Amino acid sequence: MKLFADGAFFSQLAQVGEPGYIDGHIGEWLTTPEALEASARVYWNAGFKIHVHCTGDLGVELTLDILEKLQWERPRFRHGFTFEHFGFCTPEQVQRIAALGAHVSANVYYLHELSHIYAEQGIGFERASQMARLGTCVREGVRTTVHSDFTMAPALPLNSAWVAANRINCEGQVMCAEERLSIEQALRTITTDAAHVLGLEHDIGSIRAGKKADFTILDDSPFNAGAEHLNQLNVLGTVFEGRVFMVG
Amino acid sequence: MSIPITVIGGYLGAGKTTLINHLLQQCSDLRLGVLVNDFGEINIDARLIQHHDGQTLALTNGCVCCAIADDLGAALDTLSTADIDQVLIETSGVAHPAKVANYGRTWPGFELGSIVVLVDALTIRTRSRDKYVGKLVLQQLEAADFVLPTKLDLITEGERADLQHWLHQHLPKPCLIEAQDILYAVSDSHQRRVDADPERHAARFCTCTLQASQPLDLTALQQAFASWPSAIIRAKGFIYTHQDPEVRYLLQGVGNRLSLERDQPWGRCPPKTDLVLIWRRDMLDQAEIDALADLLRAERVPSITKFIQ
Repeated sequence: MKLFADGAFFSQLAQVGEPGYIDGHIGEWLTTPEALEASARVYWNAGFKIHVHCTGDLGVELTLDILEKLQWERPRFRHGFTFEHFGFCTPEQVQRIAALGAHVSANVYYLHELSHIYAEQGIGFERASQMARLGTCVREGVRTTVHSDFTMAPALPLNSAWVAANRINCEGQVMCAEERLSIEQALRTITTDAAHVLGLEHDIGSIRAGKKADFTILDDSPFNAGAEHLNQLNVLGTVFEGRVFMVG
Repeated sequence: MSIPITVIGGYLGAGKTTLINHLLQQCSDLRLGVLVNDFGEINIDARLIQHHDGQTLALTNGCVCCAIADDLGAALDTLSTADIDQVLIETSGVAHPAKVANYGRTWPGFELGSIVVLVDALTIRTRSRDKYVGKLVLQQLEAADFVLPTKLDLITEGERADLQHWLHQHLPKPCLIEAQDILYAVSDSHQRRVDADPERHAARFCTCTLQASQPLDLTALQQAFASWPSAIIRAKGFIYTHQDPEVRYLLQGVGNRLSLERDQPWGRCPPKTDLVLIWRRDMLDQAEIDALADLLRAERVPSITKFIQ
């Protein structure tokens, strides 16, 4: 079940904490905090996997407060609660996400597309360069995946993995190198950990006896190609439920 | 003729839905077109319902209610073909009323009447300090032409005074109204109600016309407006100014919002200021109106209740 906290990332309507937007505008809530909590509680108690759209750190904060309350009321372990889109957040919030057993599904492509302009307008360099802090997520042990939310980003998983591993924006600048993922971690965000976040880790996400034969055939190993070339690997074909589909 | 829109804003729990239900039930001589987010909230006597399809509810008293769904513009288009006098738009609890009001300003066939923000007397001050919604509720309040405190019966007299004081701290000139004023006073469409029941109107409101043959200073006029009593809920008329003596200006005061627009040249008409004021009878005495008249170097003339068209 997907619920919504704050506004859209592209329109700078994420709810951000102090110092807020540097041009003074305020973000938007898509639901009142009370309504978000009430909905979340219904689905939590019914055993659902809940994903919450959070674009700003204040949206993340509200969602964390709600999750913590729900955990307190009715503890669940493999609940699959996921923070979606995950624009701005603080490292301390990532620690809370880990403590509460939640996952992150980030639209890391926003970093490539928007960080340079957000650094100048509305957000400022510090927070803009650190958006989608996947490095901290992985270090804190949070199960992390990336998505495209097409048409918000190109539906190209290797491209998203490339952004996660390099953090190069469309102006060619590296934005917060400390939050870059290793090649392996970047690949996990589109394979094993993606499967985990979907709750399908028993069936897909890696090549193993007993799992479905769902995988992609590339023209080179990503480890040979190097992080900076992840988005240039060619897809030669796919295998879906054991059937081979070659390109061309 | 453009249909005036009254935007009903305020946070969750302020009483917007209760107000809407109340107005729909009570309305007898004004046809309201009401836009709501969720039909499920409409809770009126089934005998009043004439007709109900997916998106529209028609009442026996001539009122119409539409669900906004995802498209406020389309809902307004539906209403523009209906026979109604005033539109109420119920905003969601997280909405900025000013943004919704922009539809009123720009949508063909409609004009913005006023923005009324409901304020839960019990919780507003605490909410305004909430780390999640504090800024939102303050922005909602700042967008208000009229503030409608609700749940006043749940607070003591002393707390009411505190609330007033708090409102005055946050707003330059909070113009407080009650639920019944939504149909009476916040929109030009109230003229039908006045005509239908002039005694009732007169029991609650006073009107007068101020006329001045000497030109007024625009800046002084704006300053006068900013400080004149908030009990004056409406003001409308033509102004003769010495900054621009050839052209008449249209003044419209709605609660705490003033607009002064260049209108047409006076032409052959002798220029003079002609301003109609409406105020709450119980909140202002004649002496204060006389003082205002003096300030504007205007004369009070026998009151006429019709606004200049």
